[in-house]
Amino acid sequence: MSHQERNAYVSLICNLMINTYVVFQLRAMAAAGLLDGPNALQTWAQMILWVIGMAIALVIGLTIVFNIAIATADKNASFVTDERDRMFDMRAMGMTMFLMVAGFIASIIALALGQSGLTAFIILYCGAALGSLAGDLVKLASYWHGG
Amino acid sequence: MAKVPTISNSIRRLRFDMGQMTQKDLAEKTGVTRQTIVAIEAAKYSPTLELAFKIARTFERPLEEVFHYSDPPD
Repeated sequence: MSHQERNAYVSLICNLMINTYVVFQLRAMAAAGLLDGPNALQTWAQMILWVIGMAIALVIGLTIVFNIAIATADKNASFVTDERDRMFDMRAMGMTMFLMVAGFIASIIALALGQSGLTAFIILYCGAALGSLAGDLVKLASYWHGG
Repeated sequence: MAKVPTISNSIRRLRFDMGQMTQKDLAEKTGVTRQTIVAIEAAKYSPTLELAFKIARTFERPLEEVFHYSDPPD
């Protein structure tokens, strides 16, 4: 397994953890009535800001820990990144961008249909989260296929 | 129906001609991962021109002796 393939697994694990956390948080907020009323958007935005910070710290922390563990376990482990890794990165980025744009368009449609700003932002977030997840899966599928 | 690769290569044979050179050795000489060499040998990945030249230079052969292009069947 190459260095970037290992990192793709770490990214996928982080994505799943963060998205699971967001889903549980949203459910808890909805149950507590925090997603209703004039401050709903502000409460949601504060939660998302917290999640973004946590996601960045989690990805960096897990990547460092995972790579140290690999380097310790296998003294000959390779940390080379090459043109094939960059091609898979671009492929994953394409999928991520596609779903993010789809989420943006879906949120605009939701607003046009009279949905609340909060709903539009949740759709926007879902597009980005799904895009990131799908990007990781596309990258891993490329590694499994080989080319 | 299986996709027929149009770019094949003789890397596996050339590695053995070069005194049983391993995929890892070739990867280190050309600055890529062993997985990339595996994918190229299996014709699952077509390298960039730069990498193709590096591989050919490692074997001290012209490019067309290492990589072969054939038109896909109609």
